[in-house]
Amino acid sequence: MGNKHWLVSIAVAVLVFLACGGEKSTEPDGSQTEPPELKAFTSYATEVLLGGDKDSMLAITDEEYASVIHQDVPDDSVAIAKLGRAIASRKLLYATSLYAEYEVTIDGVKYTVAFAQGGDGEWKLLRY
Amino acid sequence: MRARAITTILISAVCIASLFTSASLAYDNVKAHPALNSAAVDAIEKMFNESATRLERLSLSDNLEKLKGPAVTNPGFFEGTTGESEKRFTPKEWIVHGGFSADEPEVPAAVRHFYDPLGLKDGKKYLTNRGTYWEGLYPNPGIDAIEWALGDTPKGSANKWSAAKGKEYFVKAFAEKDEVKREELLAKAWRCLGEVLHNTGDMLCPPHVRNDSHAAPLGLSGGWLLGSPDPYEELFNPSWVKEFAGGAPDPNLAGIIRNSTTIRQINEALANFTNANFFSHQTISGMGVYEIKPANGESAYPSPKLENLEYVDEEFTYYKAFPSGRRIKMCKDRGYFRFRGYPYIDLDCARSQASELVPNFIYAAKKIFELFLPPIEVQITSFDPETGELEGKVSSRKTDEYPDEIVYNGKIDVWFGNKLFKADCEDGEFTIIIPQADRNKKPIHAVLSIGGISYTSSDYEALDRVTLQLVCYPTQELSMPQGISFISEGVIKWQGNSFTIEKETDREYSYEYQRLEVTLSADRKYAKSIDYSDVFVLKWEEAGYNLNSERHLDLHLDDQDGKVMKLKTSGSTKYVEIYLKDLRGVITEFNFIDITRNPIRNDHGTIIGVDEQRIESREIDYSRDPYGGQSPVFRLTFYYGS
Repeated sequence: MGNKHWLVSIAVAVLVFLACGGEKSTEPDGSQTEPPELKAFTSYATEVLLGGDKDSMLAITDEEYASVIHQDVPDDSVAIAKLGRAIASRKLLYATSLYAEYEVTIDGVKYTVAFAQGGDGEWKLLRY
Repeated sequence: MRARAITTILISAVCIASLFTSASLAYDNVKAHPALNSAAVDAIEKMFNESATRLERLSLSDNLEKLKGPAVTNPGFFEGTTGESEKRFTPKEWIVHGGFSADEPEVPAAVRHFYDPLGLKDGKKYLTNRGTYWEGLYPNPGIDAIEWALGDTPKGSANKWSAAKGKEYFVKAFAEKDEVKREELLAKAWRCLGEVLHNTGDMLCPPHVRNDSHAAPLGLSGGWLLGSPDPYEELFNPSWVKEFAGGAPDPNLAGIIRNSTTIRQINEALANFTNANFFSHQTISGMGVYEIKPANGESAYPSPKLENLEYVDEEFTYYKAFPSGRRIKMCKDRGYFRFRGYPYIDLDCARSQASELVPNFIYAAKKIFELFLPPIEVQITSFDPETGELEGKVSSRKTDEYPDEIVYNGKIDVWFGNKLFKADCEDGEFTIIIPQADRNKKPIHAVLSIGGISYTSSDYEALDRVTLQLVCYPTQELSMPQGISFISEGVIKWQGNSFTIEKETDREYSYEYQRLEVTLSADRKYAKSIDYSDVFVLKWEEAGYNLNSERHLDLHLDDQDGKVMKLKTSGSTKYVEIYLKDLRGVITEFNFIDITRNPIRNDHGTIIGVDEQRIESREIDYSRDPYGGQSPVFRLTFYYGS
């Protein structure tokens, strides 16, 4: 879809939303539930990481975190793929509409990883 | 082609729009802030209603106190897309609602709820982080969270739900005679308090006081404009409020809060505390496994610093010990790709931090409520059992938050025993005639009930007579102690909780002038000030020479907090007694002059002059206790009835 179409989409979305009035749920939260968009992203992230490419992994990482973490990440496709496999069998600890923290196990060691979205629905890796 | 493009646009639009409506959890306005406000109200009600000394009682959760006013019923991003409608809520529900409505409309709120006490970025206390991203969507209002919440600056005055507006609504509600209008003013006042407490909650949320912009669930952000979400905000579980609300506050912070006379002082103190003691996710700095710089690209804050924290290897966790006694998990640095890497805040850390921050919120909220509550006093000023006429008044104390007088118009409940009478209060004064049959019933008190608050007068007691005694050594030069004795004549004419009595006795051989002025506390549980003046003259004149002996005494005792001059009850008296060791702490003025004049005679016994001996003292000789510490040296006694 071209840039022009995106702009029109966003504009229409704004109109749709304004018409809806942005009603928010005040029902109890589902902190142990993965939003569908997040679930879709974890599948995508798994796929990217299984590819073992550092740059591809950083590309789906929060840009601010990537800027401070990139030196910590080795160009090691096996290690990156292991993270991908671990994410595939992740355990959700807590999720909100913007943030999710998981426990993953790699080579018998437990780590926590976090995913986040900035309000636009585009999930990214936040921390690993 | 055209149809496919339109379809694509519509599908994309619906997908994007659906994201806008996602429910938010965490330290948000839907769950966390209302939960914080709700817990605060519970703590406030408990503090007031279980107090033995407070004259105010609260019924903020009472369904009978429901008030109709404007509530946000259609949340939105901008002013024009956010809707309000009339709702009937209890005061507590309005305060809880304020915790929610403070974040509406969401876009302005997302950039307006920041206060950096250090103003690290060019002295600016408002949000500047990632300004180059989001200012394209929304111009930087250049206003910090505290001035917005309090409305105490020209920019802040634009907030119609500020503390300033809330107090204004209260003042108007007290004066308003129309019940419907009064109800709406009260509803608005309580909603304002809720929004103020939202700000208080934010001042205990690290990213809000460390210039760390973070994502909000704003579909309009267009993607990461506000930066990545902050884990403390996002991982904050509203159930933690209940779990940690009973914890002790930081003792140093509590001291500042306790002595604060304005809401601003409290919120600034909270911001300072949070800024200095906690990291937000993107403002971690210091020497970790390598030098850690803030991830958000801003300058590093002077504290906390990683190198000053305790690191526990086996947990990969940085700890900080707080004066509260709690040991808080500040961050961790266990990474998958690097054994120890860039530190982060996870669910475990967020929960630990909440255990320190939530108790401080509750403590601060209680004090903010006290300052926000109109400082009203109800008094029965006189009651004549003969005519049955009872007079009373409703007045306000001047405080830093309420510097102007508050006038009350409305109903007053007057109780004689269990019999209720309704009086009308006009411009702060009320009068009612009590039927003969009920005049002997006790206790007698008056109650003003408004918007979930009940202000009660102290029980009316006819303290009709008073005596005052003091025995002390006024100076080291006198070998004998001196005594003061004052006895009132007639019935005391009270002016509220104060009275002044002057006595002048002029006899052939003596002259005496005495003046006693006493002010009791509003609850009549202690004497706030006692002022006594005494002039005693023994007249003697011989051959045209003035040989008078004179004694002058001025005494002022002050005890605004009631720590020493408490009124005790015994039989038909109420009295204040003070031992010598405590007297020094309340005497603010002591002036003693003793003049003795003796004749100087020649050998023939004729007076040729006067020998004047003058003793002056401005302080009692505290080294000599006339009773050896066994008895009080000062006593002010009231007697019931004439």
